[in-house]
Formats: sequence, structure tokens, C-alpha cells
Amino acid sequence: MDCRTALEILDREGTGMSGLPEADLAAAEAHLAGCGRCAAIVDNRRRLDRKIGRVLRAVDVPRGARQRLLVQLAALETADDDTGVASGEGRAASGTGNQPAVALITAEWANVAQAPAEGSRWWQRPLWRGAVPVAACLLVAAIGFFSVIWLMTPRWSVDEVRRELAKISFDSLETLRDFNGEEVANHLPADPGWQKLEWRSGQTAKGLPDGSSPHQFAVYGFVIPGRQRRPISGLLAVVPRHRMRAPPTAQSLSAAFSADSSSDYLPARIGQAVSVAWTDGDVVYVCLVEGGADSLDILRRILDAPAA
Amino acid sequence: MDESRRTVSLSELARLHYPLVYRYAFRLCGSAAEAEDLTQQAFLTAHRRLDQLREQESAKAWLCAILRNTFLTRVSSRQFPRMVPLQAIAEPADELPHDAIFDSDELQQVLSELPEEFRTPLILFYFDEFTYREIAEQMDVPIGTVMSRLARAKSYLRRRLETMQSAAAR
Repeated sequence: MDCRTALEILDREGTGMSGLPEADLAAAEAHLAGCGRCAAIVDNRRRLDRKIGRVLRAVDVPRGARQRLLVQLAALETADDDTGVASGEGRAASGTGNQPAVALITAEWANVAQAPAEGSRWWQRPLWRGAVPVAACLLVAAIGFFSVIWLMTPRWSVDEVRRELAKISFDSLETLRDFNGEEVANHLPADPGWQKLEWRSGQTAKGLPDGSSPHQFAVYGFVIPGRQRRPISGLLAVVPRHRMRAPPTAQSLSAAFSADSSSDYLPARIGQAVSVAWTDGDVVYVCLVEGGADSLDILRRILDAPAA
Repeated sequence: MDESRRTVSLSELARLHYPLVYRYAFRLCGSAAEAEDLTQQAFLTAHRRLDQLREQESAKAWLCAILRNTFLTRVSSRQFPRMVPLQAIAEPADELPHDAIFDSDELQQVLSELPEEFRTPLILFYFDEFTYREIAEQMDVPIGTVMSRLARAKSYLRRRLETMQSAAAR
């Protein structure tokens, strides 16, 4: 092997990870052992490479540069965690959740605080520039949390529902807004006796009487038919159980009649009325019937009568 | 959990590899301000693509590849009048003594004269962080191409530093 080839091979082998054939390397090393000039050149080049490497790597990282980036990344990662966007194939940090990002902020806090001021105003400093989006995210999350809590808080009592029903004029029932809340739509009582009643508006549920919040609970109108007496009007409210502060203890209409706890007269737009309320699974029914205890008794008898 | 499959947050990667990526950026572009900007841009890009990183062990090379792509995208429309023609790099080098005196700025000046495809393997080689194969993968070229470019770049570097030495001695 000549000097030029040996020097080229050994130059390439600088890091020991060139992947050159072992035979070539062995031949070059053999040449080196017998050639003082080449040995000196290779030795010089290796020393020079080490020196160049040292100088090349000696680059000062600007103070605070990494901290600025970390704050920015922590804000991005926090936003990702909040929105659940950046999951991919398991983007959770090693450890638990966003703990590393939080820990990094904490760990870097001291460094940033000790670093020379990089802006003349406190809000221009990197830490605050990164903290503003984080604070905004936390604020939005808090508002969302309390909104959910507010929405989940029971709002109605049976008596309040009765009073709302009392505001409804039976004749104007058809002009009320349709109820399109998914929670209680099509939740007429399962008792087949209700089918004997005449339903106003074709069994279409209506919204709240004032129309301002149409999806709080559904209202149906019905008529108890009669041959030897005038028909009796009635209203049935269907309310999600979780929206009730104190759901009725009666678990069925029959039980509610037995309890007879709602026989107080109530001045209503449909006339003097009485009410009855019961809970069936996830739904609470409040029924307002024109008349007095005798109307309730008629309703009960109709519902209890065997189907024709 | 299999340690090789463990996923990391980019904050962790930034904490571990920021100095390397910044130094790489600095040696590529030659400016501290631009290097910081490039590094930040590269990490933000990495944040968007973190799901592409399959093994933590390859994070360093992955970040360097993103940094280089960011740099290439940024400079693609620029002109580099100081760059030397490739033919000049092929010239054989005079031997520069290992005790030659040169500083970081002189080294950067020579690096900036090199076309990027020669500068990149030279920087990565002297960083002593990657094998030839890893450099080849980062540049998406065959390993033989990397070794050839590296040999020519080193030859040019020695010759230019030697020229600087001679000029300083006069």
C-alpha cells in the first residue's frame, strides 16, 4: 500500500466508526508501522482534529436562551394537555402527565430570576411572556369548570315546576315553542293508561312557558275525556332528575296518589288545579290537573282501568 | 414499560439537547442571533412532529436533522458569495501542524466558505456525537458520500487554516 492510500484510509478512520473493511485498515496500519513520515502525518492530523473539534464545540450558548425556549414549550405542552390535541401515540411525558413541564418551569424559575434583565419592563421578560398564555389557559379552564358545575347544579323544586305549569294557558299550549332537549324528549310515562288521554299538539312536547329558556323541561298538554261531564284539562311536566333539587320520593304515579301530598289547590291558568309528582328512573314527572281531588281521582281511575 | 418505547416531552429533549442543537445552528449559520432563532424554530417544529419520534435514543439525531432542514429552508433563497467552488475543495492539503494557533472566529470563517453539503458533515464529525452512518442518515445520502465530502472538507479546512497561519506570520 502506498503512502497516499494509507493516509486516506487512516484519515477516514478518524472516529473509528467509518465502517471501512478490516483488511484495508490492517494494511494501512501495517504501512504506518513501517513509514515514519506517514506515522508523523497521521499523528499530526489526529492531534489537529482533536484541537479543531475542541474549538468547534466551544460555542457559548446565550444566557437565558434555553430558558426562553423551555417556557415557550411548557406553555405549548400545557395547552396540548388541556385540549387533548397532542396525544399521538402516547405523548405523555415520561413520569406522569405534564409533570415534567411543570417541574421544568419550577426548576428554571431560579435561573431566569437570577439572569440579567433582558427587557426594561417586567412583562417583556421571558418568564412573564410565557406565563401570560399559561394564565389565560388556566382562566379559561376555571371558567369552564365552574360553568359545568353551574349547569349540573339542580335548579328546580317540585313546587317551582308546579308554579311554572300554572302560568300556562291551556288554549295557548299549541303556540308554545317545541321542546327539543334530548334529555327528556319522548319521555311520556310508561303507564299504558296514559294512552287513553287526548293529547294536545299530537303528543309533541313544548318548552318552558316564557320561551326564554326553552330546554329546561318539557311540557305536554292533555285532556281527560268525559261523556257525562265536561273534559278536564291537564299539564304534564317532564324534568331530568338531576335538575331537581329534591326529586319526589314516590316512585310511581300510584304511589304519588297514595301519598296525596300534592292535593293543595293551586290557582292556575287552566283554572283551580291540583298536582301530583313522582320519580321514574332518571325522569321526574309533575302533573297539574284542572279541578280538585275529584279530578285526580278521575285521572287515577282512567289510568287504572284495564285497557279495552 | 420497555425503556426504548418510552416517550418524552419536548421540554425534556430541549433541556438535554439544547446546547448541541444551538452549537450546530451557530456553526451552520455563523451568527448567534440567527442560531438562537433557528434553534427555537427547530424545537417548535419538533413539538409539532413529536409523534414521529419513535425512540428516545434517536432524539439527538432527529433534532439535528430538523435543525438542518430549518436552516436549509431559510437559506434556500439566499446567495453566499463567500462560498468556494467545489473544485477548490478537491485540492490536496498542505499539512498544518497540530500546534497551529487559530480561534473560533477563524474556524467559523472557513466553515462559512464551504457549501452546506460539505459544512454539515464537517461540523457533525467534529462534534464527535455521531457516526458516519448517522451523519449519512441525517443528510439522506449514502455513507460513502459523507466520507468523501468529509475528506475533502477536512482537506480544505487544513489548507485554509494553514494559509491564515502563513498570512499572520508575514
